[in-house]
Amino acid sequence: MIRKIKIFILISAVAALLGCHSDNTGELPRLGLPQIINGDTIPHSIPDFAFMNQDSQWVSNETFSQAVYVADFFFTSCPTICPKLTRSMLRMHDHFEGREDVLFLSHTIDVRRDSIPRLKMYAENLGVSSDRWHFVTGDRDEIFDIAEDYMSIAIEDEDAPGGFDHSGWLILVDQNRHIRSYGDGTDDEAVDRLIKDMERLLRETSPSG
Amino acid sequence: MKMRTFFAAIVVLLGSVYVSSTSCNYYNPHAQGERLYLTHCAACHMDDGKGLRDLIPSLHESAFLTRENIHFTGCLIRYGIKRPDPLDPSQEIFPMPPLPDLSETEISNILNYIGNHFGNEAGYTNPVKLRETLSDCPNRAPRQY
Repeated sequence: MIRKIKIFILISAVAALLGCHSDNTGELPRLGLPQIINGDTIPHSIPDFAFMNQDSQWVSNETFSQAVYVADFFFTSCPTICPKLTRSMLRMHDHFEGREDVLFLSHTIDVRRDSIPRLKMYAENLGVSSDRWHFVTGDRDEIFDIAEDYMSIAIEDEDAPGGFDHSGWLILVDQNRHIRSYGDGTDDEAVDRLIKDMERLLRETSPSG
Repeated sequence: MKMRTFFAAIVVLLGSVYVSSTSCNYYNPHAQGERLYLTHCAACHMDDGKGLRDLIPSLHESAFLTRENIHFTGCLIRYGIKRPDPLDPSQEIFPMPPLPDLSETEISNILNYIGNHFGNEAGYTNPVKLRETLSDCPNRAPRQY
């Protein structure tokens, strides 16, 4: 009897451990609060936007209609988490080198100081271009508002280091504006998981690729 | 009964592996400096000291972390690096922010860590020597509170 109980506990433990791994088959979930319109459940989606990038080009939803993209919120003079976020973005950028269907979108939340020339300088010092990575600025409130749609926080706070408070999420969005995964940009392991999710999303959207 | 002995043996084995893994740590002469580095410097220069391309300089085999320059680097840590904004020369910016609240001892600890890690061989400084350098920093600015 005792042996049976022990075997049962062992099997349960193994099952519980296996349960920790998310199943890697099927589609990635569509995250965020869904809307119900006329009885249909519509997954949360990124609303219309138009911001200007480091090359003074307009960047909108249309820019990403043929690509999956990772979005984050930062500012160039940020003394806290931004360098690590940017390093994680760069790691993903380099991982998907040569793929035009994987793009990156970094919103500055310091629109007063982060002018287009400053964003350009930042991108150049990082060795990246707007072919694949857009550093955008625009109306401050529009950026703060859209941060919420990316399940992130961006607020001005004079008590925070550098004058802004913001979350360090990297948000993965598909061609249809749906959020499919996210990770903490300061955590290397979370970024590894996010890269796996990106590969999975790419298989889902273009089985040949 | 046999099963019980087997489980007990596994528990003892795992326990001893854990104990040996915590007690066999090699002696780290820069534990304080490393801790201070991770708290005050690593957000930008990164845990591995490699910085970020041309945005944030790497500390590996750095010209600032040599026997000749290590004390001046103490000045950079305390007073930061200030220079005219390349996009608006009428303004000054801090590419490296100052850390005015670190003591001479803390700065020495950081210098001894980074000066003898990341491929640098700057030798050792101490708070007394460092105080002398810091009293005469070329980039000295009044403390701001």
